[in-house]
Amino acid sequence: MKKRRVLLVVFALMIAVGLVLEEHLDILRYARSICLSCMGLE
Amino acid sequence: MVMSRFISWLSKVRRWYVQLGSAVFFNSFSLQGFKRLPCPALNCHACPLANFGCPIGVIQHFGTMHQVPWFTIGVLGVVGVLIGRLACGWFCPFGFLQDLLYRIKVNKVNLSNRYANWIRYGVLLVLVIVVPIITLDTWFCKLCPAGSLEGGIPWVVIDPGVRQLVGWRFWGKITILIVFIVGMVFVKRPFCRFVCPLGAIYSLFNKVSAVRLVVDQDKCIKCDLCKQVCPMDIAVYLDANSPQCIRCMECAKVCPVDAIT
Repeated sequence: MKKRRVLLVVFALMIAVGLVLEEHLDILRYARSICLSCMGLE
Repeated sequence: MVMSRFISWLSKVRRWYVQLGSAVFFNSFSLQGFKRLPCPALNCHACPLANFGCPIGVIQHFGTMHQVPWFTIGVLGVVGVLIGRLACGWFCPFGFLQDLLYRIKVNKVNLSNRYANWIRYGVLLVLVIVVPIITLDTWFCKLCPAGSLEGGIPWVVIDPGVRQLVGWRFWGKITILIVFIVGMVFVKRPFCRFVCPLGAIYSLFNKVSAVRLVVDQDKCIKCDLCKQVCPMDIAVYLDANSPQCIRCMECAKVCPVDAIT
């Protein structure tokens, strides 16, 4: 139970760091771009 | 108390409906802004209708930029700590496909889970983390059968410009997909058990997650019914919270003595 709470706090902090670094915007840009080479289309 | 009630409720829900609903929800083209969030299950964001980003694609993408994907690791960590691999059993569209294909009535093949965890951790470490950092390219995506099914094939079908790009590499990916699709008919969830790097990440939390199974060893008669229905081929009474367990609750549904809660 205690281990779970500690892990939750650690991961919540990681989310906070990611938000501060605006990683979600980078994810949005990446996920919206269609990677043709990833689909074997080149 | 809350979790045991949740587990008991889960064992009464028809998983098929939730899996279908999740597949539609993740690919309904209605929440495009949500692509800034990693999907809790393996769902290719190259799918023309995808709503969320693929977490494995995102981890590789950050690796190619030599950055740590704090946000994605945090989201996957929170999901893992709360529900373990439940997302694999209830929300993953590719897992749903595997469950459906295994229903086809043919002689089935039993594959041991002995090295399955190590193979999945190897795929995660090598193809998702190390190789993208070194080669600056997303190599797991280039081999991923879920990506071929959800992204590659739809784009080739709907876009004539993309169709002209089809070459040997595309057919190579399609071959991998066909091998897995044939395997899904004969073997229980082959991709989830032996390959899926997202399942490998969630596996790490199965022993500590809030949603977990408990087997009452006094009640258990070791009839093996749980193993027979388990989509991951686990003898639940031996290791209720195995890294392979996807919390599908099929074992709890069939247990004749209600030993699994």
